[in-house]
Amino acid sequence: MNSDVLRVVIVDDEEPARLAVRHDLEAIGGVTVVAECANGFEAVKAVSEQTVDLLLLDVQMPKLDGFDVLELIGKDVPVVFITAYDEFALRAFEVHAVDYLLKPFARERLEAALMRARARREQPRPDPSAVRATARPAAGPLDRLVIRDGPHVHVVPVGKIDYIEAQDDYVSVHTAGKSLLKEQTLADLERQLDAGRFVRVHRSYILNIERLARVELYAKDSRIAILHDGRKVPISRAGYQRLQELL
Amino acid sequence: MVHLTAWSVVGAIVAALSHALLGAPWLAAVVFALPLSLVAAPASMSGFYLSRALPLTPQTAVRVGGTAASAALVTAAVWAALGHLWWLGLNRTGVPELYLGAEQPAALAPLLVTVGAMGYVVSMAMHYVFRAYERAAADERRALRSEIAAREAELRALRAQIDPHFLFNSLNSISGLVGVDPAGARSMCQRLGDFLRDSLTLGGVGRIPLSREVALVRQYLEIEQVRFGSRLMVGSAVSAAAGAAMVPALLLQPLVENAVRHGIAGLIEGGTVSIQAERAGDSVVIVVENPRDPEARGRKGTGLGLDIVRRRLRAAFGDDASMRVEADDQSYRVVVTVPAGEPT
Repeated sequence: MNSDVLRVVIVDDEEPARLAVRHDLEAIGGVTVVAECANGFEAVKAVSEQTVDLLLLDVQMPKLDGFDVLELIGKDVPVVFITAYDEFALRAFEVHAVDYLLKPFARERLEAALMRARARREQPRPDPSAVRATARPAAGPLDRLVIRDGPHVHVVPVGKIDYIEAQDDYVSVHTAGKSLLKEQTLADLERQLDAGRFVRVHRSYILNIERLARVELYAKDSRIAILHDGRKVPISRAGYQRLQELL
Repeated sequence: MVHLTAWSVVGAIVAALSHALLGAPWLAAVVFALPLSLVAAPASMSGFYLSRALPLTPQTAVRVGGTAASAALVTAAVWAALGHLWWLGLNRTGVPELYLGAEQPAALAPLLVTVGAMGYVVSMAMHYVFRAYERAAADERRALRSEIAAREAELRALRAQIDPHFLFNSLNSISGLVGVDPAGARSMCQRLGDFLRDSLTLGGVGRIPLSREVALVRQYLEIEQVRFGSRLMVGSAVSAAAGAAMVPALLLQPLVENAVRHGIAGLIEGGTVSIQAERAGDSVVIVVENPRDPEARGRKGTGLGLDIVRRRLRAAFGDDASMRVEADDQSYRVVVTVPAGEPT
């Protein structure tokens, strides 16, 4: 247990809630609030721009909820969830959150959470991909991807994805004329995307069916998919089988 | 710390008086008075405990005064005796600069007793003042908390009629404000109480003028504005002719709740919930409109709110009333048409 000053960021879309937490933190002491954020975008920016020891994170927020934020930065910073609803507790546990506080909470409860955060700093971090993998919502296929680009966040509805290409531990998401790098495996994404719309046509490629114009035979047994905009994506044998099943 | 500084001031006074009245040289007087006075500081702590044990009220004033006076005199007498010994001690050191004067100055004892007693009494008085201040602050906090408790009880009775999440969120906001902005917390308590009382009363009445209904809905939105701050803006425009139409109380409540929960809450920058009502021939057309996030996810409404409004319209007006939803990616509008009613 160390007694350094903890650098804390408060993330909550409601100002009274942020004020109350700040007030409690000032009374408890041993922490500096380095940023107050009203949404997930501000939170990602804050974490990119300075050293942050702990995130106090609301769950219900516009556009990016608390778990989206965790997915984007959870491997860098320990997180304590602060929310009025208890239904997220199980998920919070799965993503290795440090603690889960139900609003309204007593100061002592917050103090206990801070102590846990300090203790956590001494321990090795949980495997980052484990943190990210379990931040997924349980219900239904993904309807959008959240991709971090330094201090910025791109929210990409799945309908806008053209195709996804694997690049070692990352994937390159091709959408609307640009490509964004996301720290995730292709296999992982394959599992979460709607199999009726996205097909793994190759070991390194997932294709959005809607973009497919036609399939051409390249060489013996080798095919390529031609997209509406003329781009080409290779199709493996297994990939072609999967494609045929769908079409 | 404050204590020691105060008694150092007393020390200076004693030094000055020793010099003036007893003819002691300055240096010696200071060496005499300062340590003596600092010794008095812990001695006057007995006054602190006395003030705790004897609360000061109009009834006990005389008793407290008497006790304080006697305690002061006794402590001061002991202090004066110590002072005398110290005086003699300084004289006997043989250091000329420290020589204070006559062996047993007649005025020393009265000087020390007077100054000591006064200092003691003043110190006791200050303790009383501090305690009164502390108590006032604690009382204010306690009053606020009991107000919150009273509201909570009232609210529990109303749970079936208003969305429980609204109550829960409002109480959370109030709870959050208590430590930071007590005046704001109290104000929100009152507004919440007023709204719930009004909706309880009006709910039993049957029909109310549309102008009253819109005012009620605005009360609700004002409370939500504490949570959302500038993210929730409210606009309403009800023409005089439209305002006279009679509608079931809380008819628009579910529409406005939806507007906030599914519209404003999903927007980073928030937006405006607008309520408009115009007379159109024999009918009055009411429009509740809000912006929304085209990519809003999760927490889709169950449609229950709209259903309730439809059913209430049918029960109140039969086929003479209607409701339709006009929605696109960016905005959501509910258009309710009710009879204008007989002219009064």
